Amino acid sequence: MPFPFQAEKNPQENRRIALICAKGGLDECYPVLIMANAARMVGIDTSIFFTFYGLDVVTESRVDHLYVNMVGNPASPIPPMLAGLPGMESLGAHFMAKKMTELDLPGPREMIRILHDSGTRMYGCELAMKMFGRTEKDLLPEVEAVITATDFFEKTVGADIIFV
Amino acid sequence: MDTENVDLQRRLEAIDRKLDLVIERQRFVEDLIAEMTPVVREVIKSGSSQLASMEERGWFRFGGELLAALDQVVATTSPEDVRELATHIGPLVSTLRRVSDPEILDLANEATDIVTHADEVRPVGMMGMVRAGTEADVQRGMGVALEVLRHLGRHHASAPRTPAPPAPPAAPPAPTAAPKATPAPAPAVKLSPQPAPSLETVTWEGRAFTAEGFLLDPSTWDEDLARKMADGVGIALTDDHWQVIRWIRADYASTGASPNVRRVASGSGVGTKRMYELFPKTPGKTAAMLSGVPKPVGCV
Repeated sequence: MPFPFQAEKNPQENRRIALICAKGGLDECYPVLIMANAARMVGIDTSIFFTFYGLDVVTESRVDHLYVNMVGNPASPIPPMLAGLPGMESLGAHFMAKKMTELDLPGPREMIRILHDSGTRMYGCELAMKMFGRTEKDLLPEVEAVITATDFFEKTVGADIIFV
Repeated sequence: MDTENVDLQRRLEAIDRKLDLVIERQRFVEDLIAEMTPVVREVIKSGSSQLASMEERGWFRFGGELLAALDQVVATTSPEDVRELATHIGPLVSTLRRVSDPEILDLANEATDIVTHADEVRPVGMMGMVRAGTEADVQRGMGVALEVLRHLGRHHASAPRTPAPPAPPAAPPAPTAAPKATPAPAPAVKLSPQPAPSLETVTWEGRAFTAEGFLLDPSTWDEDLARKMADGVGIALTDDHWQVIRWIRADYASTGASPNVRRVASGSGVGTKRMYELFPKTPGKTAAMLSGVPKPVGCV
């Protein structure tokens, strides 16, 4: 008798998701990266489109300096009066990074590498590149290509679109 | 001869007396009949009129229907049901007695009064409800209602879960748990079937597996089993696979937890990319499965 499990098709076999990362905060990009990784781990075809400030997450010079914006975030532990003080975003990022390390979560740079290795396709937004004056050389090598939004939708036919 | 005559004479006299008696009785009976006839007639008349009025009021139809209903009940009730009912009759009676308590009946009457005069009550929206919440009477009522709900919840939690029995004889509430007043509307407690953590196990190759295919007892694993499992999931084990599997076994032995993909990829030295090649689609799950350790938790 053969092993009676996983003999049938993976239930996620035909699933595809397309995540759009449009924000560049540490707390704003983590959900995208973690969700994408989790999707890959269960065998879902996954693509990520980095656009606007989300481009920072795949920009070589910025990826290690992503911050947590405390202003306008009612869930932050910092009182709104103090949230706008200089250095607060850096402080927030510091505490979040510390917590992530405790939880054995890799930083954004390593997450991007893991995602690439797991087969997630990552794209930069052409328009955002022009807007911020960046070239492909500024991006992490894990980014597959710089494409337009139209291209992205064409590449992810049938996928669930998740805008973060 | 004389003596014979005398004897005959005496006998005749006796007969005569008896005849008199008979006649007397006959007359008495006749009198009685004459006297009783109107009475009996009256009785019959009133009796039949009574029956007619009973008929008019539907007694016989009711009786007939009742018999039919009883017949139905008997036909559909098995002796087991009756026995079941008998065991519940005690608590049922005590519940009935409680329900027929004058105080409760008064309350029920008031409630029905309110319902019959429902059109005089103004509709209340969200704000109205909030406003009513400040009234002392409403607050008291809410307290009682909450108490009833609390008991219901407690009862529900303690009741044994039987997955949809064919005819559940509703267990009467324990007398001590019965709330004093029951004006609260019975909440529609929806018994949604809870997707309980799958406890069912599957036996294969003489070992127990979870429904997803993870070995229940990691100590029962051996390399031969891994090979057979790999065959089943369509993986031909190479040295790299074994490197990963042995590392996972060692890591599980030292930490007591299944490592996630990232940990396996860096710990075993094969890297994330190779992990997805070695164990396609679901590297974390498949590698853990073949290593005979539980399904890894976490999302990295």
